[in-house]
Amino acid sequence: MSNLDSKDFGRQYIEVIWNQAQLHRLDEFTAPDVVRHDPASGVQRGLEEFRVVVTALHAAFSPMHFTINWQLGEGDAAAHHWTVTGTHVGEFMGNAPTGKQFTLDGISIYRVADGKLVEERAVWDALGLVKQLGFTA
Amino acid sequence: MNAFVLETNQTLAQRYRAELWNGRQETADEITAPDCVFHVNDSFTPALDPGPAALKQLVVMYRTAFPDTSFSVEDLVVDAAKVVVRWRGNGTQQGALGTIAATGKSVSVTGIDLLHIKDGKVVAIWTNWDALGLLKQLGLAA
Repeated sequence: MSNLDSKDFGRQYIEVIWNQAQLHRLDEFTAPDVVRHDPASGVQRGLEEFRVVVTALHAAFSPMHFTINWQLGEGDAAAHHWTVTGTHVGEFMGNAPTGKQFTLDGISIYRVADGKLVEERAVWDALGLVKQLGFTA
Repeated sequence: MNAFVLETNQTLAQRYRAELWNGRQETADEITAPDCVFHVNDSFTPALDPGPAALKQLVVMYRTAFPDTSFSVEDLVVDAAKVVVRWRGNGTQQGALGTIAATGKSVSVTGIDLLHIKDGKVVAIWTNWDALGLLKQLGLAA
């Protein structure tokens, strides 16, 4: 991915990893020492911790489809505001699958070095997910 | 790219989160366009009318509930027409927040604002923040 600028990189990463769930390609997109922060799932340090969280999200919500609404950035740093739709088909936060659909928004800030993701910080509407799926809050 | 524009956009984002949200009301009039629109995507905050008056009311709502809140800017990414700011707010719930009576609890939450800028003013703001984390820290969510 090293010939892409950070915004193009972000679109490819969302498409391949988050929309198409090609998790066997995760190491094409993420550096071994990647750090990901997300208030709903905590901090993941390194590719293997990252893989565990992404795998769990795809197991809980399938299909998931992310649409990028806005992107910005210059050089290695970029951000995007996205909307995701999905269906709750697997256990999540201790809740059994409901079969319900949801739509919610989030914003992610990320940094790319040598064509790979080194940092991602996402803040998304986890309360909206809880409300839409009817989890006990 | 024009370095002055980038610096201006960065300053607007700093002023929005670290000045207005720390209680300086007049900043809302100074940095936002009269028809600035707000999208707080938290499934919690009531929908806001356009314009700085609604923004000031929102700040008052949160600062009445958490009067000692201190917001700090932790990251900024900027381009010619947009800027994102990642922030953290630390405060204590000393007043009611909507239907939530004062709990006296201290909270620390994070969020990201995306500001759209035109002619040196903020014209649209999208915000995502950890409202579920706030409710958990207040003891109101599992």
